[in-house]
Amino acid sequence: MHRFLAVVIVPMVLGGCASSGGGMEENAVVHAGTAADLEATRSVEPIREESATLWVNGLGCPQCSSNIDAQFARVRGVDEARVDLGTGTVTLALSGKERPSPRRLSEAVLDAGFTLVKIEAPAVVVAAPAPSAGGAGVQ
Amino acid sequence: MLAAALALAGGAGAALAQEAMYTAAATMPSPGTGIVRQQLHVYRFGENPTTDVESTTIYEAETSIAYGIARDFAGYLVVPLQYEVDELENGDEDDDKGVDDLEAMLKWRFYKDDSGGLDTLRAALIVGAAFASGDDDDFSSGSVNPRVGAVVTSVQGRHGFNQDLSYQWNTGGDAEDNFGGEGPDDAIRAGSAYVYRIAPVAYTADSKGAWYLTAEVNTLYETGGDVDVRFAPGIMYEGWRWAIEVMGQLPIYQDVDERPEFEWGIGVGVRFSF
Repeated sequence: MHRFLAVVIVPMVLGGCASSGGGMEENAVVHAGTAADLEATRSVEPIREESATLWVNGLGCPQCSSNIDAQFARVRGVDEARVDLGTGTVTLALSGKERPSPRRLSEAVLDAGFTLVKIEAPAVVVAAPAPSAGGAGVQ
Repeated sequence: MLAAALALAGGAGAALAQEAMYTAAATMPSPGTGIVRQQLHVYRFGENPTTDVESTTIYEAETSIAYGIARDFAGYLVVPLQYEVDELENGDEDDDKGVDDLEAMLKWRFYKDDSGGLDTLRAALIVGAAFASGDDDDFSSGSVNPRVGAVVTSVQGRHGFNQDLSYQWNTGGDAEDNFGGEGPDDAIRAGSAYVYRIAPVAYTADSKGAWYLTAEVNTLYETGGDVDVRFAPGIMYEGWRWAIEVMGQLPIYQDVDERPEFEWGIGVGVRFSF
């Protein structure tokens, strides 16, 4: 067993060093929502706007986009979902009588395996006071 | 028979993003979606100390299907078809084909911390079994072999790291047909994978795919004392709904008494989302 531990632990340590060596990239995005942003994502009021922009954390790869795309395709009122890995955002085109609520969109993001930080649509963000002061933003 | 190869490849089962060929990742398809992954492997083994076989080449077509059952739950089914060519001491060749043990697994992602637009730390439990395919004993163990394991995935910008660890209780298997982890001894497997995004350096709104270099170290320890450690470098392209991967596999360290030593391996694979 000691041999097993040696050959397992060494790669783990080496791998750990490699993975933590240089995390950030040029356009690394750090989304941080305020408490008001978080509360806004829980709203059950339908979004009346024609579009909404979602700030999503954890979108680390192209196939992640396919996961989130597939979940929004099942949400009534969502015509199209455009994923931008560069900014970590998903822009939704909304239409029809039955519009999704922020909570429904948040559930879709969670189903896809990611974390919704903030929704930008006029009807949603109105409750968020001075977002820049709370640290919200793209860095 | 392919339990060994499947062992090293199958600790992961089917896959999704940021997953290299031989090491699992704590990623999975979302509910109602799936991934089909087709891999072609060639494994070359040396002399079998228990038979008159000088060398063995195994050609394997492994099909795996991953399906998102619910949020953070996914199921995996792996079907490995094998064609084996033995070169005997007297110069003759012997070949056979069949279906190795099938594998059915459940993956439950119990931890997720998405700390940035790209960055995440995830952990998942994997529970399931390799079980008899119905083929003869040369390829299938003829038994049900439960497996439990865990995997951690970290993505920080361009760098990804996966670490898996699993234990398989082999309730059957034949030492003469063991190419690693196929019984009768139990098998402990550990895989470490480093995945580095080489392009694009930075994602843009137009990014639809990415190239990755991968490097894996995969260890198989059998409770009888055999140890098999392999290094697998590779390259992978991942698009939105498909991916292609090419990997090589070389031995780093081996101490095996009753089965042939691994000499080299290569693998190519494609994945499609549905």
